[in-house]
Amino acid sequence: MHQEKPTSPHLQIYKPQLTSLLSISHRFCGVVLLLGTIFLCIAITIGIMYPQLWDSFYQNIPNWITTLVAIAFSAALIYHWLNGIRHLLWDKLIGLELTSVYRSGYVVIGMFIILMIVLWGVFL
Amino acid sequence: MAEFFLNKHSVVKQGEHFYAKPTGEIKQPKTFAIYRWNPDDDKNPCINRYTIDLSDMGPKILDAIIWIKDNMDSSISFRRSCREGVCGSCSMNISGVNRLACLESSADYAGEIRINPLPHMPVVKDLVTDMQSFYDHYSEIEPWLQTSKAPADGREHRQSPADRKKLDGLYECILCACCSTSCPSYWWNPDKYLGPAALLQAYRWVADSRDEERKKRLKYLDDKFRLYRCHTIMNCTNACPKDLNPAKAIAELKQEINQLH
Repeated sequence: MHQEKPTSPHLQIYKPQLTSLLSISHRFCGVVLLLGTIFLCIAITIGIMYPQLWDSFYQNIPNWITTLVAIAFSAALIYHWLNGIRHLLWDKLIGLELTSVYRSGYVVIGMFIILMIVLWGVFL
Repeated sequence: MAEFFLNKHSVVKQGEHFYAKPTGEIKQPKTFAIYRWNPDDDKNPCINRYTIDLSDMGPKILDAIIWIKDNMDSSISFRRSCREGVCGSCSMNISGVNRLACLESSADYAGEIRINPLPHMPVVKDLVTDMQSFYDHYSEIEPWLQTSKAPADGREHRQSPADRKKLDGLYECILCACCSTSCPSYWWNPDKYLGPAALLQAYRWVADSRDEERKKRLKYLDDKFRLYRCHTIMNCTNACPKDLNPAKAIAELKQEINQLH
């Protein structure tokens, strides 16, 4: 009779919606950017202090891995930047109606795809 | 601390499948997968399936659940009262989104209709959740008019039509908890974050021209947990069955606090 109350299911059952998906990707990209920036600082420091060490390290990594890391980092940066503009506008009380939230969400996704194609279409 | 997974005794198992009548006789078949948990035995929660004939009952999902209780399984527990979206009792998670069962039509849902209790709440029995913390958050924002003295003419505190209009979109809240229990931030901090419903009401009193404690209210909310656990995810506005906008009210609160500093 005196059983502990179970917690009702949450993440397991809640429908993924544009609102929550864009929010969690924003946070995820923020974490990627933080770790990426720390890595970048370490890499630059090592590159300056021990150029030979860096060269031997860099030459032993296959090209596709460095390209993949660069694509992932730029994707996180572009998405976080685009969606960050949305958050700044919301803090100024702009675009908070549900229809505008969805519209701006689709604009962010569209702009993200366009900018990624432009960036990597030029570089690759 | 956020718990992303259900603990051992909250994990949901598969239950049984019941049919209202032989499948050949069902004209408009619809299957409801309903979360069941009974405090009187030691079993985990489970999903029971009920295949019913929609032509036997009213159009709303609440009609279907009442029909199942009346005709198939009288032990199923849920809250309901007004059956027209005014009381907020029958809020539940319907196929992944928090809604009032009395406002949703069974025919609008494709496939199986999944019925769960409001997310991340302690379950009392089946679809009935313990709402204590939700009501505590509401009382925490002191949801009543606070003034220092009565009007000189002895009548009520009056308000211009323009000031009264500022409360539209705020006072209509029925405290069904659809918004708060759709919010991941509220899931992870149910003890410290007030949640969209209580914050919408907090703004309702901050925006009221008759209230004299605006500053005190804003100062109370200026806290990294009470208000600022809101990360503008917007699931609340997406969930509200009354088409209110808690996320906007919270943004207004943040703005007002900003001007206070």
